[in-house]
Amino acid sequence: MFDKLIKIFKDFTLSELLLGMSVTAKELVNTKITVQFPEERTPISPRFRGIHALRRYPNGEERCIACKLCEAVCPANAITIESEMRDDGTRRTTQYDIDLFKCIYCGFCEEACPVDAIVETQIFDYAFESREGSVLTKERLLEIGDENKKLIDKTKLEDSKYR
Amino acid sequence: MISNKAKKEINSWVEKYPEGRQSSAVMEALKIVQSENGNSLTTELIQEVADYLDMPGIAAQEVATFYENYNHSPMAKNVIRVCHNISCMLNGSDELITHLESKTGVKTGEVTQDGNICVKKVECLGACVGAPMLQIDDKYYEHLTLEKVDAIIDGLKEGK
Amino acid sequence: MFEIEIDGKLVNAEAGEKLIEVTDRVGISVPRFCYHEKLSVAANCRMCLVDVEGAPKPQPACSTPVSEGMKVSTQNEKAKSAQKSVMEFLLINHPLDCPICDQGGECELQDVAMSYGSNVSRFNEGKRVIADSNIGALIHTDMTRCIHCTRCVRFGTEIAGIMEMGGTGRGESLKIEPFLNEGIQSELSGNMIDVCPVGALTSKPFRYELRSWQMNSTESIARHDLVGSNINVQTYKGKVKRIVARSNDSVNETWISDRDRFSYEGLSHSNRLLKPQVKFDGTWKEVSWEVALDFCVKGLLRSAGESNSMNSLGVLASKTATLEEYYLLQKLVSELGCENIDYRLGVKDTKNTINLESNVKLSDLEKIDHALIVGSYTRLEQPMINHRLRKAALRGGTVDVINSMQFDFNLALNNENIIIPCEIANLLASTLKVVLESTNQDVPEELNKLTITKSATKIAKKLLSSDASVIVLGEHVINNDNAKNISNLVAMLAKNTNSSTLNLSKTGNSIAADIAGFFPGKDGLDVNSMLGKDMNAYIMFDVYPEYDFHNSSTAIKALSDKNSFIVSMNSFYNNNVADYSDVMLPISSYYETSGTHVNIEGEFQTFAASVKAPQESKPAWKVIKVLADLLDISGFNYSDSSNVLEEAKHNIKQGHRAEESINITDTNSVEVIWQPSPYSIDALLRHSDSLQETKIGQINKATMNSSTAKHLNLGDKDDYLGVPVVISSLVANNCVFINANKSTPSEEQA
Repeated sequence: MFDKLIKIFKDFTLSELLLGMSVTAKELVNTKITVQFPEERTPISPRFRGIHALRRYPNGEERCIACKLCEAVCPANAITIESEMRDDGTRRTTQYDIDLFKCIYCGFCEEACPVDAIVETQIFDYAFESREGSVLTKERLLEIGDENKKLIDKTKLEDSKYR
Repeated sequence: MISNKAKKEINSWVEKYPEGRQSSAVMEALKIVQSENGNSLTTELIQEVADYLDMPGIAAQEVATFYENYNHSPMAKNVIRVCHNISCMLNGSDELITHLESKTGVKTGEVTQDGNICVKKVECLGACVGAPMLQIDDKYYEHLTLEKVDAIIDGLKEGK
Repeated sequence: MFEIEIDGKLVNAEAGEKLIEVTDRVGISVPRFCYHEKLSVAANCRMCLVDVEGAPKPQPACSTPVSEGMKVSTQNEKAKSAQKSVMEFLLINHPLDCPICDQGGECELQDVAMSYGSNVSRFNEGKRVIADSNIGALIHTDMTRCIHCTRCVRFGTEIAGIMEMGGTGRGESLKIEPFLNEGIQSELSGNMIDVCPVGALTSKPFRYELRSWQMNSTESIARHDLVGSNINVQTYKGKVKRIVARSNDSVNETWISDRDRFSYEGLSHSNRLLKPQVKFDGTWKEVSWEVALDFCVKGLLRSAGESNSMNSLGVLASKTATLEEYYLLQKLVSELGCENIDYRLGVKDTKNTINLESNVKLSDLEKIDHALIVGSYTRLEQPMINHRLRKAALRGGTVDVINSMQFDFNLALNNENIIIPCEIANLLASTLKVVLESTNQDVPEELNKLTITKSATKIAKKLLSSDASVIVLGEHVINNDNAKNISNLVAMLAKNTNSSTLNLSKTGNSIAADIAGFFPGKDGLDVNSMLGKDMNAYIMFDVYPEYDFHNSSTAIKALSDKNSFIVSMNSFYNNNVADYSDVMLPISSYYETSGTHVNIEGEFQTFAASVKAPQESKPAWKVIKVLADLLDISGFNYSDSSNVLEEAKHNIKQGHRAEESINITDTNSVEVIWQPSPYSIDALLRHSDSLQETKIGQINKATMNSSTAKHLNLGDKDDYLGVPVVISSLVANNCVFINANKSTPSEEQA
């Protein structure tokens, strides 16, 4: 009986509406936390594990030596490597594919790499338009590495002291 | 080519060992052939010695590269063998060797341009009592100082 | 037998045993690099140090003999610290290049370092670097990785019999290297890759292809020789990538020949026949299996003519088929009512050839005290047999040889007889006469007129005086004018001297062919009579005419001239085959089919397919089965090759025997021994590029002495029967020994 009376009182005074509006009113004056992606970005840890890249040495030589440790350690079997002896006698890959549909971004490949060739970058906003695009080929990986060289070098340097 | 005279000499060594063990004479044989060839050996000569003693070429090569007294490149007239093992080292053989190198102008194991002198670092020559020491031909020079070494080198240069 | 204590456990040990043998037997792991059970003990890596109670310093387990009451600890502080120190020492100069090292993942150093090594290196000085030496097309060297265990050196001196690698220099400058950069010559060299505990010696054809953990391994049998070495075939994505030895003490111990190890390269050669092809109006067309097989059936039936008799069908096979393939083809043909079937393509006269049983076990071969080798260069022709003979020789056994050319055996020969082929029978006959006379038996009339030569007496005495002797009859005499006599004489000699016999002319899988009954029936024609007759049709099983037939040019001529319908099943494309055939069916090669190899001691060794036959090629036994079905022949309901084997085992045929008479003929002309060079005996080997690059692979010469050359009017720049002439005094007079890697004679010999 008493509860019913309170309800009737609340309905007629619009107290619940006002309560809701007060939140809106408060947020009207508070500083905004919304980020205008992609123009604005939140800070990302240097350890963030985004899309992969293959790095090069400063002289332009690819780092990867086809040791296949990343392939072996990959828990999702996302990496496929074929190797051969290049004409100059060094061991190199002829194929280095990462299937992004399989990849779980665990970062083991980066951990396993003895020459810091394969890395995971901070880039997470990528897209592809065809099914084939989901497989990163060696050329694409090197391209990502070249395009984002500065970023990769910076994040790896930042993280290096904790390794 | 191994000369007949050398072959004769080698044979006298071969005879000292039981039949079928002729390869035991390889050290002497290499020595004989080396002295005949201006105090150094070539791959061909080593192969010939091996063939002569009916052993694999590589086995003769093993012996020839193991011991310091076989030379594999044309050798100097005078070879100075400086001991650098423990007793001599403690008594300053390292210093001696650096001095010799600067004096002769070439590194150990190399021959001076005039083909006169070569300094070699060798293992213990059994004269620790006179350390530091060196050997030229069959003669030991003991209790060396830098001055003594200078005198020896100058002597060699004059052709004594 | 007494007890010793290892790690607190009482174990039995035999006097004279080394500690490591005991620990290995009872399964206590002791790390080691230089010790190898089949090689001598060197004790130079010091990795197997263990603590022996009473000894002031840790002792190497590989060279410490056990003694009664010995107390050993492999795990206590002393042993562990010794092992750890040795490990650190060995790693001082070992490069940290495991990621690019082909041995990575199967490396003994890596494994031992993981369990016995320290996790940090205290060595900050520069590491020693050694330049690589080029030692041939099969083995790649990375000598900076070498830890000087000297296994390869000992393998060379003890097993291969030629010391090719050695340790030069000393101390820090010690290097393991060959003397001259000529390349390794041994026919067993590939085993050095297996014995090398690190990545210093690795397989060249396999270099940088795959890591060891990526491959699947299947057990298989190598079929290039009559031993059937046990191997592991390692495959990746349906391709054979590497072959390594599998231990079987009764067959190949832990060794395999280079032939067996590297032939797999041929499997992916561009020359493989991959699609069924049919010749329409003289041009080849790729067709489906249905069309091709239908074409075969129609052609075969048409060739039978109106009488519907298959009497003019000829069936020929090479020596490399499996037992199942021989059996099925033989069954198919006999169901068709045809008896013209043969595999002895290289035999000049099948009525006059070797017919000798082998009756010695491979493992007993190394226990013999005397061997007489007739007409064989066992080292290159049958490396695994030669290895056993060499072991026997090293144990004090003696070896006599009757050959027409002096060969570079790697075992000590007691008595070498270099005689012209036609005299071999005479020598054996007079040896038999000596044997019979000295054992007070009747000498047959044929032998009466023979004069006894000194060498015959020597050979006979040796055979009579030894308790366990063996007479080895080789391939060189298969086409000898007295081949049958030689074979019979050897059998009689063996009987009268209590020797065993070994017939090395049954190469490849020919023993299986005999067992399967793959020889002409009672009224059937043999290979030479088939070629001489007008056959209406042929089925050719993996035949490459220029290599397989005794006289290639006549054979090719006979096959292409007559208008016969020829069905060829081949694993490799061949121009001549394409010329004379009407249908080419692509069949599986080695390791692509399941089957059985029968080795010289009669052991059936069955293997499964390691990979699928590439593209449209099919296992040959299935092709034969389907062909039989299409020909409406019943009894071919096999689901699996093991059913075929089962049936073949119930129908074992006896190879036909020649009568035991001796009737020696003499020849006066120059005699030719034609022996394919060791790496060109079958199609797969001929397509293996790395093997062809080796010294042995390039052997192609007609060797004769100067007076024979003069007689034939040849110089050392000429060719004889298409093979370059080499003049050497090693060959018997009036004899030409040809080792060819191209083909059999292209013209009728003089």
